[in-house]
Amino acid sequence: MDDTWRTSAVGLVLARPPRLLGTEPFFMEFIAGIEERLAAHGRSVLLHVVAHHDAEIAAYRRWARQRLVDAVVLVNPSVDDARPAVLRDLRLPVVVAGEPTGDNPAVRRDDAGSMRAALAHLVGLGHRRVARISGPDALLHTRTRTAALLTAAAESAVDAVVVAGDYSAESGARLTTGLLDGPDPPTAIIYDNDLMAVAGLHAVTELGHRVPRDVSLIAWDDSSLCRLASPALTTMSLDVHSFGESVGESVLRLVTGESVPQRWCATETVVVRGTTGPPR
Amino acid sequence: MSSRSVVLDAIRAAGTISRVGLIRATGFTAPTISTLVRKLINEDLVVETGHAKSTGGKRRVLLQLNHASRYAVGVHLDHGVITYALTNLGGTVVARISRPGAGAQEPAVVVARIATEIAALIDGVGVERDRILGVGLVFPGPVNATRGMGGPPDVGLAPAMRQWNGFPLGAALEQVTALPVALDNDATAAASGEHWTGGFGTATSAAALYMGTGIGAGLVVNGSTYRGPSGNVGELGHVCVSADGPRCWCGARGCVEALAGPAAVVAAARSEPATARAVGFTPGVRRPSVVADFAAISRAARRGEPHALALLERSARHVGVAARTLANLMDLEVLVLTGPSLATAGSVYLPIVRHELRACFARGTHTVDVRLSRSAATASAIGAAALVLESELVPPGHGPRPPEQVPGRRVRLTESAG
Ligand SMILES: [Zn+2]
Repeated sequence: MDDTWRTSAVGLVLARPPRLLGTEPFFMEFIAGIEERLAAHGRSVLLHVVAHHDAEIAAYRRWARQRLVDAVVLVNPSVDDARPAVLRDLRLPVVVAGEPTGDNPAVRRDDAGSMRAALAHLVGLGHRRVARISGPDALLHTRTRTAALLTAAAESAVDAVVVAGDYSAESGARLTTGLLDGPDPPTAIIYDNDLMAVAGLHAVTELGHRVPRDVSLIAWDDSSLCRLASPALTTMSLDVHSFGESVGESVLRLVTGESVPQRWCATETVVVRGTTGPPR
Repeated sequence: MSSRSVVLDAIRAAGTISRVGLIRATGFTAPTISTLVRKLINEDLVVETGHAKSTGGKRRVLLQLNHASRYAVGVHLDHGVITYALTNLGGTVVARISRPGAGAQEPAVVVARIATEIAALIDGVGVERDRILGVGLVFPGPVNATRGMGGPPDVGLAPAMRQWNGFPLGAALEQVTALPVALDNDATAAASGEHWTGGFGTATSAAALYMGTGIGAGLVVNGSTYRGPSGNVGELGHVCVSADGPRCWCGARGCVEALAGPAAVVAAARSEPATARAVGFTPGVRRPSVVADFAAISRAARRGEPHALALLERSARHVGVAARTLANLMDLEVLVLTGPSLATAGSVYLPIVRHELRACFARGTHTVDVRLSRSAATASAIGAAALVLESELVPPGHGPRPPEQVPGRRVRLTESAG
């Protein structure tokens, strides 16, 4: 058989429960950014979607055996992550999109700085009781954001609580309702992605509250979902395409044997739309 | 449709459904449903999955498609990029890769490369070959009578793809892959994909408005993809929105594609130095495709570049006018915006198209639900895979013309897989 892409593809495995529809906009734009850098060199991104980390590791073993990819982009690094050691044993070169694991080169997001920017926006509007509905607690960037929020809140004398969701719309709606029905409800909620925020917005409206008069909401991962919500969601916005381009740049250096610098994405910016305002 | 196909399609459409629900949905008797469901479970196509909430009586077992039991490969063949998607039985993407496009290469050389890349995709996912139902291959042009691209000689193919006219694409790919091959145009396939994955809900008249390099539409009427007598329905890009407009490559004047399609938007951005700078177009440096250039304009608009946003909004107004024509002709209930160009610019187009349809839908007896596809970026490749799922699992027995019929080896669904 011809070796068409067997020596020119970069693998990216996305492990996620099938019910998490709507993750596509973020990852497709991320991949488009990687592709934009790789295409000029005749290289491609092989995306494989699996249900969990065991299947992800099985895919890496298969790819190494078949010599199907010559590098891997590792996403969503987590606590006690088994994947870097497996990839090292398989001698598959790795670029991590997120916080570095082992001595793999990484393209990092400024999760702490971005969280401080989100809180500063709310504090500037006068909020003093803030909640956050986070992604899964096993993810490194979830923990970084949590630590940054709690530290910054303490410095600004703000009450902050964090409850862990799982990025699904269902968890966004359920946890929002729980927070607003509880004692001392927050006057503002920060979400770790777009799906949970859009579901949270619906839940708030269903409870009979008004946004942003009764509660302010900030989403993460700006996407069409956020821009098309009513009112449109205030969002922390990362240039996802350029994040992908940086990863692509690192991959190209890695596979050609050059040294790969540690890279950082720009800090996310607050895109103010219709869901944040002063507390009542 | 056979009664087995009717039941299978009812399960697909419902997501999860009980046997009692199936009786209601199909009109078959309880013993018939019981027999057919047992068959589908034996064939590994359907699984039992938990129970419905009890409503006083006995708890009902729910059925759903066994997503991991069968797979299909979808290929979107275009001048600049070839995109591959391997989907499971439910039409969900399991693997995806984009490779360099057909360019000016000989069709036979491109087909050989496609076969190799399909084989690598299947190996990479680790699926046994006998679970692959076939290959759907779609392209930005009509399917002709000899299972290739283009209508009568040199008619209907965009200029970049003219060397494909007369090439027996379907037969050639079947020969090198040893898999059944279904062909269609990309916009119709995108509509099939939307239908298969539930994006049209329960609408009886629905359309996908597809924007990639050009503009097209696919129609699903009464649950079937409508292809017309020659498989060339939905040439929305060549609906006239300005009688004195510019000449289109198809020969007519004022086509919406010529005025407002992605290639026209890219050309306009290049011709205005300020916009070209804001978008990051460098003279002499080309991205691999119109779609990639258009995506750069979309990103600039999202960053707040006023010139880029103005170009997209102008395009969206024209596309909205064409969409209104389609909605009026077809009495549409749902219009899904899809394709790689709407994956990046959908948040600009959606409100404008929605507004156009709300303001002007002729009789006003119902509203048209305008949505963004959940998988706009890969819609045509997913749709190509859905063509295979549809033609292998729920082949229509009457009504609209069936999709491109598949000769050669067929995967026998009555054999148990594995
Ligand atoms: Zn035309």
